[in-house]
Amino acid sequence: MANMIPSKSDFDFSPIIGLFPRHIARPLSQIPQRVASELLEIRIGLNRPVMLCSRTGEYYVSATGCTREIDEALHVDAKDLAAVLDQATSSSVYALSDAMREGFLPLPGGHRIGLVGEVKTDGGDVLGFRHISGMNIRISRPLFGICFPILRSLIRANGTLWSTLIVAPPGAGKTTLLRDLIRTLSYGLPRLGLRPHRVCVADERGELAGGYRGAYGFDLGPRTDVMGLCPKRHALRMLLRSMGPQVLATDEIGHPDDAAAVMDAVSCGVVLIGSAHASCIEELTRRPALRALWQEKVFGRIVFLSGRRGPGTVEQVVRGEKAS
Amino acid sequence: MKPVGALLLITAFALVGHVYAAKKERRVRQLTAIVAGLHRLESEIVFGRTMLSTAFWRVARQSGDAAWLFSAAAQRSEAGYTAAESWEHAVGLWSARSDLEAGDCEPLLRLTDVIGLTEAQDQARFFQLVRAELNAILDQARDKLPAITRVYRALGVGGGLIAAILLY
Repeated sequence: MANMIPSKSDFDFSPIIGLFPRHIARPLSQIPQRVASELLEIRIGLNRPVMLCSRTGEYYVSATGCTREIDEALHVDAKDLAAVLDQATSSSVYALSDAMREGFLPLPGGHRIGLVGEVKTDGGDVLGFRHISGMNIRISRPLFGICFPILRSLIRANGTLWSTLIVAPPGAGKTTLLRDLIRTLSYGLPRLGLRPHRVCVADERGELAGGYRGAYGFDLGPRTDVMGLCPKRHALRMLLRSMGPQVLATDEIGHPDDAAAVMDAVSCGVVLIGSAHASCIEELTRRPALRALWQEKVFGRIVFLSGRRGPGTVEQVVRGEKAS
Repeated sequence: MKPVGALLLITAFALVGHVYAAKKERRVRQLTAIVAGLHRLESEIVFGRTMLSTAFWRVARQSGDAAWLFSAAAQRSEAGYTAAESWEHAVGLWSARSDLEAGDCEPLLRLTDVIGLTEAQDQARFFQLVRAELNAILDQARDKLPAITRVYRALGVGGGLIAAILLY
């Protein structure tokens, strides 16, 4: 099956480098293009090395670029973490506290920073971070046409689309595939007999549209409307009521509330495309919310991805039988 | 010519006294403007969730005698400096340029390490603390202002008279 994340040598790395203090930014700007163009994540943590996770393997940032030797790696201190946080938030943590409570920070261009550390809680609810001890800068690239190899299997005999769930472990490319599927549905693809669709996206984490301060970093097509940073159960209902969608799309279905909202939407005759974390049917059905969707045959097609031959390897397209 | 010279001398001394008195009056106006500006900044942060550099600009436009402080912070912030660097730099320049006295800017500097870097409710607490300290300084300055300006003006005229008597 097709590998979905081809390398892009024209990737602009500079906004990411700009997040770091000078002593890390300089060697980062010197890493070879072959590593930069394949980069998926930059991981930093308190008293830990700056780690580059690329399709070609893991590297550390050294004083002169990148290395495979941990002894040569630059390490991160609390000041460096504070500087990255300051740059990533434009010194406005308070303005991004909702996203931070969810454990991430949005960046321009659709990139994301995942956060870990000690959190403040009140009655079981997360109020925010007391200390941030690690960050994972996840690099996002808009890729066009990566859904084409599987698109034919998602189209019904009558030309309409099956409700589809893309299933993969973290980092396997499911958001990238879902984003391309949304864009393709919105534009339509005449050579496959796919007409343009009105697509509405419930983008709870802002990853699908690459939302940043109200602007969207990715082209999701001319017929796509996005409800950003809103819980899925609300966003799906609002979109269904107000925007007249033909296709609803959402990322990372997992909570029972999400499953209920998805079932509700599909019951209204709308095609739903979504993604979920799991690596096989057994794992999928072990999660209560997803098991309910599986048992109810909500999705007509389930696409399993893996990182077996690099992130985005399509392993299997499973038929969900009687789905909408 | 002597009476004219004496009159000029007294006028010059009176002007010096007046300048010092005016400086004290400007200090009170600037402190008032800073307190009001901080209140606006707190509102932008806590209620508006406005990004810090934009908030600085908005406050600068409405802050009269303290506009320079907030616009300097905004410029620095937009140039890519951290909030701490921007604020510290702006307060440093402002304290040298304004009519504030040593110690007036200390509460402002206490915001340096926290401005923008915590959640809204925490920011509100920091701002309230700093405003309370500045209000205490302002109240004291206001209370003393009539007496101090009278003294400076009287000293100016009196000093001029004594100098005229001694010289002529």
